Amino acid sequence: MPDFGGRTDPTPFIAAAYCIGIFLIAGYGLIQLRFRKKLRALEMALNEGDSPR
Amino acid sequence: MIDAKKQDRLTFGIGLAVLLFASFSWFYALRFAPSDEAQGEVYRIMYFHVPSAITAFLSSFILLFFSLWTLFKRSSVAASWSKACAEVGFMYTAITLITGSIWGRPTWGVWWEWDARLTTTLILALLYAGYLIFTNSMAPGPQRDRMAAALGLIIAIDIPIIYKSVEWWRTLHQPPSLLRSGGSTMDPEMRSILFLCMFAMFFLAGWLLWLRAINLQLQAKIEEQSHQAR
Amino acid sequence: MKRFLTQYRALLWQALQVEWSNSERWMSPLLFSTTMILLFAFAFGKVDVAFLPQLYIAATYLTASFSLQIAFSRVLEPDTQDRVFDQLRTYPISPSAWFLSKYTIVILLGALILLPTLFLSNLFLNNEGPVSLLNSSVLIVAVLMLLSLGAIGVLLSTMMLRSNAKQILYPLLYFPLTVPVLLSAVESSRMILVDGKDLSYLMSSWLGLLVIFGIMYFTLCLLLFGELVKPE
Repeated sequence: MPDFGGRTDPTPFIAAAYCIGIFLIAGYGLIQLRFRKKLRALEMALNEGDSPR
Repeated sequence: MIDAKKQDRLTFGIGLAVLLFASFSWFYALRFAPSDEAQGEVYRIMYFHVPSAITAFLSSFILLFFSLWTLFKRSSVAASWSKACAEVGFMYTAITLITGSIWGRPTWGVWWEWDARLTTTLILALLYAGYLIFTNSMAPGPQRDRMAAALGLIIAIDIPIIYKSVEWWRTLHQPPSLLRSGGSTMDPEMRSILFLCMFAMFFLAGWLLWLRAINLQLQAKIEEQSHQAR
Repeated sequence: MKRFLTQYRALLWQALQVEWSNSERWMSPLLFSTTMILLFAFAFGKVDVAFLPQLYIAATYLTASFSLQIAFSRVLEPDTQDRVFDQLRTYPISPSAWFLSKYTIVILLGALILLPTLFLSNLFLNNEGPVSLLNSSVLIVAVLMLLSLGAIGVLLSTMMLRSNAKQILYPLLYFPLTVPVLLSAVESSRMILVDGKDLSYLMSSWLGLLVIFGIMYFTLCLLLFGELVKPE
């Protein structure tokens, strides 16, 4: 990367912005995927409970 | 069940694809975008901040559409899409505020400024939060769906008005450089990379929205099934 | 039209009777206003006369917003008793007549709170100021603000009727949604008191916006109210 020319070092700011953003997006996505897995398990259990033995 | 597994694999596959696309766009922006004359390297936060901001506001527009659908068609599916919009929108407003604040510190020297866009984003975050608290505070059913749809409609219609009012009240943000009459002031290469990041973010947000909506619908279906089973 | 007016009058009269029979309903927001103005007076301390108009505007509109919000949030409470609200929904009542009656009562209540607030604010905050800050132009701006806020107030009150989190939700939604109205009212008042502009000048800027917001909110809320009170 080129010389900062007397400005503040931008690296921590860029890193913080991208990391926080990606963390939030990935975190939300993962939570929703895990939730879907739980819902499918519940759905399977309900269907098994309804089917005649 | 086979269909369900297929659907889940498709969902996961699409998610992986959009995430890879988004990651590529961010990497490209960080690695290959030219430096800015005025701000140096720190401006690269723009490639995350601006797409997030546009997504946050676009969510309110999609919320308007699904709220209208819920009100006039009495659709519970549309209601679940509305709630998903509000959640995804809230997350993106939070990202916009945080990245905007981080970008503002080295650029303006302060963590916060009362400029029109940040202020409107903050108000939008409060409105999304209020919408979500409202939907969670009422018993599920057609009445809640209708009330939430009316609220979503008011929020979506009010946001451009709030934006304009705050802009007239006080603004320090640079004027919009993409949509200015007489052409953009942004470097063409930067503009192309920004559009790439924007589309990547739209696809990513769209996938999150879809995933949340189908989860809510599945949850409602399971609750109804278990209620009938008793 | 005749039927509409009959319904409107009947609903308005019912609401007036309820509000009149229980004076606490309009006294407590007014007492809240007084308390807030006192707190502002303590918080501001001794103020340079040049800053008085700006502080007066800030304190008055803030106080008015909070007090009006309390009054508006409770406007449908009497209808929840004895399931009056649910019964009214099943009757062949024009939703517009119903909304207008609630809107009228909200404006009347609002005026009972807003006008004394302006007066008290001038009395306590501007006691050493050379000129009274209570003038007809500011009064007109305040009334226009009330007309805009009233519509949103009734609609939000209807929405929150069955919510468990009404106390926190109402202000959380009410204040952000009414930011344009508040900004317009504050800027109009500031231009009147600080810059010495008159109403005709302001009609082409903030005051004109306030009027447009008022018409817009009223129309939107009138249309949505009908959807909200439709029986399932």
